[in-house]
Amino acid sequence: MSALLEVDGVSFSYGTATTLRNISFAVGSNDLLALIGPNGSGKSTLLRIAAGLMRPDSGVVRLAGASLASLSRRAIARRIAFVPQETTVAFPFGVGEIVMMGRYPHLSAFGFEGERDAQVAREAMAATETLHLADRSFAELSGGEKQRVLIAAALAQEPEILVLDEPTSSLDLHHQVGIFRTLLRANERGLTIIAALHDLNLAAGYCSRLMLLDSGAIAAIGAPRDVLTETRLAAVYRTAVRLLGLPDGAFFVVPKYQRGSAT
Amino acid sequence: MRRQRIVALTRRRLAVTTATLALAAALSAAAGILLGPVHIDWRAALADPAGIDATIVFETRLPRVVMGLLAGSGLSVAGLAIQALLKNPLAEPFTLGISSGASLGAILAIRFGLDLEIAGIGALPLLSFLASLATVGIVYALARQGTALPVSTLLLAGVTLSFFFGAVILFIHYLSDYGQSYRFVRWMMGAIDVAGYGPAISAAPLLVLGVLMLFSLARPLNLLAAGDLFAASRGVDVLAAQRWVFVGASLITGAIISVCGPIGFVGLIVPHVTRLLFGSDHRLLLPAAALIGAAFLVLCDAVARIAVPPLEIPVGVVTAMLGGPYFLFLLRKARARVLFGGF
Repeated sequence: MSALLEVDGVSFSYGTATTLRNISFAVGSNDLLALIGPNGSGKSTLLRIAAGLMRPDSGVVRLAGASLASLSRRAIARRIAFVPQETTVAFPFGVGEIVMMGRYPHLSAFGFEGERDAQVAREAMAATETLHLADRSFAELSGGEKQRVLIAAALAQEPEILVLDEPTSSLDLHHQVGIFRTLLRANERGLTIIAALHDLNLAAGYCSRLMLLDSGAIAAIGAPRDVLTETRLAAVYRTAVRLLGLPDGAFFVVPKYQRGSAT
Repeated sequence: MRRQRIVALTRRRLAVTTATLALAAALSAAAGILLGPVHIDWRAALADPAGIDATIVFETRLPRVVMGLLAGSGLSVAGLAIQALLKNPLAEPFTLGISSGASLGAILAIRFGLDLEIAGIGALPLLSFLASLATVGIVYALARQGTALPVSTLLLAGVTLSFFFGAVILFIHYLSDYGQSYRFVRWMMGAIDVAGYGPAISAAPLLVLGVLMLFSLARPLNLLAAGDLFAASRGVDVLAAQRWVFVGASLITGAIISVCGPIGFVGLIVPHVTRLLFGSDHRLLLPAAALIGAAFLVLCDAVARIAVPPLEIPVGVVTAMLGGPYFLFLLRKARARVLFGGF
């Protein structure tokens, strides 16, 4: 199997603080990979490097064999879309305009969006259940609506790979599930997805593969069952945890509650 | 799937809006030529090129109108681009220190009585233009960090340099004699009461170049206004786009300020009025702001000439006194929430 996206020996540091040490992994076509790990373990930095938004200090990221460093930002954006954790839009853009901006890498410098671009944007909005918001101002939307609109803009890019940084943090249960339904549908239609996730149970429940980062290095990568073990999580998160299984095969990670142990 | 219209700019909307605003700018140019303390007969002006009417039209009023059209459109376009670059609706063309640099150049030329001319351009505009470009160069160099141009650093560097130059200007001003001081104060008020076509001709090439640069960046400007990371994720080379926006806006502002002095308010207010009327797409906003700004400054200059004859009010006073209340009215109507988006 040839990898669609290959991260090969990537290291990165902010000043003297080493953030990523010699990270290597590959993502195949149609994968759904979740990046998990404690705060500050390097998830966001690794995502940005994998999406070609930052250059690694050493190592290389290859997209279908070609180094990202050799591709223009525009060429990368036609194939990889990125949705950051938080986006503030300073000017009163309409929701439709924000989604249409996803067409940017496909249009010439002076081009106007045509009917096909509008069609792609409509489909992206339908997939994220945001069509009814098309005439609203982006700034007026709720957190969950904004996140769905930003995912719609990323989908309108028609990427092969969608990279998301904590797409469900700060969202309520209903919206968390809604975002994942959207992502799973896109994944079923062939989109490769890499997402950093805070919530281990969402990651285990929705993603086929997990990658656990610990202080900028890969602690484990594989199926949720294999990655999430009580001893490994206790070591990486420095917190005692339990795995609880349900009869239907689902399992959950919960911290070991020690109520009353303080006395 | 329900057929929901996705609102996007069409060529038709752009053409209709631009044509309408061009007509308005042409009408205000005509008003700028015909209105003034002295009544003129345009038929006589066209019929007799040596007559008094023709002299007033072609040697006094038309040069002012041309300068007003250039300065009004240039400042508005530069202000619009700087606001998108800094993602700050309170930014204007002078935010990044350019006017303090130009003012320093101007007061140096006045203080040391430089009267030389180089290629038909006087020492004052030349020195002030060079000082303005040097200033933006310093601001850019101070703010740039590797492959990034952090907006907050850019803003702080510009504002801090403005304060520093402001102090130097005050010091030189303090050492100046009465005549020099008066000339400097008049320069600082900003005016388009130019004599002849020389100033407009010397400012035009760089101004037009800067405007064309910004027009060609209309789509990246949309994405930059929505956020740097958002823009990068959609395929914009953010540092390159920021750099060209910065260079284009600086060329425009430096060219105008060196011949007109710092004319305030146009570069802040016209972009806002344009956004309130036409939304957030810079492909429409840039030409619209250029035409609205041109019409606005020419009309303000006409008011400056006829309000208290035979005196002329500095045009910067008129732009603020007319534009301020109108803008506050629009602000009331549109609600700050809509105007300032995520702020």
